[in-house]
Amino acid sequence: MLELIGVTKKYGEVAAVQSCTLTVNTGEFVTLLGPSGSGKSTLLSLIAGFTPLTEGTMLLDGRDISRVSAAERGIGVVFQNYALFPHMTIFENVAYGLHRRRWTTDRIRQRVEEMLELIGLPQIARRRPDQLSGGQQQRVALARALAFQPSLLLMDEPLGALDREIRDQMQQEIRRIHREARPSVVYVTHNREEAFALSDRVAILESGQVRAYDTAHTLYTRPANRFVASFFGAHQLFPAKAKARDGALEVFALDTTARMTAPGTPDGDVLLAIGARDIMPANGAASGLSVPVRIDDVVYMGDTTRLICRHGPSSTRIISEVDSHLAQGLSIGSDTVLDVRIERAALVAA
Amino acid sequence: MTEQLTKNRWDTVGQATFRVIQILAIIFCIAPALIVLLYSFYEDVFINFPPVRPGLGLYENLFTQKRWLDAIWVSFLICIPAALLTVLLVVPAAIALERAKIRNRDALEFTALIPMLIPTTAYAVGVYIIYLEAGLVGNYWGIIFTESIVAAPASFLIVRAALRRLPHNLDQVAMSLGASRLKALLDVTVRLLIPAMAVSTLFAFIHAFNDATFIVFLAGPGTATVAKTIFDALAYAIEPKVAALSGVFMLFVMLLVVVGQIVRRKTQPR
Repeated sequence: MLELIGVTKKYGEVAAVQSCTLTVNTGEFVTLLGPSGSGKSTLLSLIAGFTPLTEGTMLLDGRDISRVSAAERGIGVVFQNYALFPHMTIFENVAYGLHRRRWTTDRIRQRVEEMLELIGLPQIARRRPDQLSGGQQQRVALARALAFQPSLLLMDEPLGALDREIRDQMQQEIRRIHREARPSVVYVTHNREEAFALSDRVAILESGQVRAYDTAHTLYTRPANRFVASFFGAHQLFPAKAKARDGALEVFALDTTARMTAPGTPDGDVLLAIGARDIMPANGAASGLSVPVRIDDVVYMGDTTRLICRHGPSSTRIISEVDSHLAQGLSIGSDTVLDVRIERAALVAA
Repeated sequence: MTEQLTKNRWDTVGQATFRVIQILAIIFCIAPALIVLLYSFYEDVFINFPPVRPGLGLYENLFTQKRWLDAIWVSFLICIPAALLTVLLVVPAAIALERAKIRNRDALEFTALIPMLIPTTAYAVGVYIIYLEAGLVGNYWGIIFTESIVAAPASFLIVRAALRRLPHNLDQVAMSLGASRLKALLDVTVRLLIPAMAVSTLFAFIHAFNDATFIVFLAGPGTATVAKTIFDALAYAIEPKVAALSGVFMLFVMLLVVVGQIVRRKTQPR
């Protein structure tokens, strides 16, 4: 288990990571997600021990590692550029951490074979890194980082350098290897899909601070604030007024009113956050806000079609993404009514 | 159609001109070397053009006369330690300048290049004055030290270029796997710099071997390297023997350059 308590890193006066507190449970897969410059890689480097921290405490399985050298932390690390040692064979790469721990030759050989088996590349022990593809190299890097059985594995954008197809494959591989080897993982990425696909929990970072930390599902459906709603959920945000009435919430947004049951959501001046898939052309029976719009563009995307619309005198932009067959007959420049499905929306503080 | 042809004709003329300039440039670069080599295989007492008496007398002379043999020996005595010292200075400097968080990095890096940028003779005069004060003129280690400082910029650039090709985080990975900072540096970065270090040693050696200026200023009358002996020989008379010496000298250095290139090709990470 990894516990970060008020972890801060300052360069001069600038805080790259600002009083970050979060816990990664044993065996849990946690993703640090944020735009570039949000401090996620710095935080990873602090946990690994490559960068000395300015303030705060880090506990790994109860042991204070805040001032312990990287070598003595016993944390596996995987980088985006694989960082295999080019002058060593694959065997030597995977064995490096075991040699440092003075394992016996027999044990090392056995463990390396085990690891190459785990990553599905048992035949490559004698090869050199430059003879492998990017995906293979990253799997070897994973094997090397896990060989000495660290309780925590850190991964810094490990799929960033791979082609899309390989990336999808590697995601599956990482899920499988995580299931089999069960290390705690802290995974850094700026890619939402990776965060969705891999994580037990996601920490959203912005300007060096953790803005939210929860399961991907909760962050998506009940974003804690507008940054999480727009960055993680890719939700559209509309100004709204919410008022509690008869045990439900009356929401006024986009010049119409609808009722929603959303326990624990803020009222007063708020923002209505909703995904493009939860806004669709109304077929008579609107279940949420009925919003008249003019269609500015119709973008065919295969399974779905995106309707780019504007509403009202202030030309509020509303994007709706619907199954393509539902978009038949909608043409650019025509008027229609959108059903904003308020029961799928979330309210966040303005 | 005609226009097209005319244009092609001009292209051809342009290409031909370019080719001629190219050939002239190459000739200009290597002609002195070829002439020296040519003369080394003749036994003319004075320098005639073209030379008239072919023979290997000069070489025989060279390898039997004590003055020249001594010069070769002295050159090695100075250049080998100077080259090694250069690398010992340059590798830590390059690693520190590339990897560490240093204030005024650019200024420091520029300082490392100064010996290459200041006119050699002026620099030599400066060193001479300092050595005179310190009583180091004619001192063996004093000469070696100066030769290695003067060779440092070129060697520094070679090592730095190699260092820049190495990903920064290789050392970090080694540390995460349990290697101390020093162990990681030695196992990974320094290990991967070995080819560059070899090439850089070679270049430092060549640099010191070629130097006549600093030797003239600092060596005092007793110490004569190959380069200085050639210089001295020419001060009194145009001696054909110098051609033989220069020829050997040149072939030796060319050989080192070739070896350096081969080392670099063979060991460069693909």
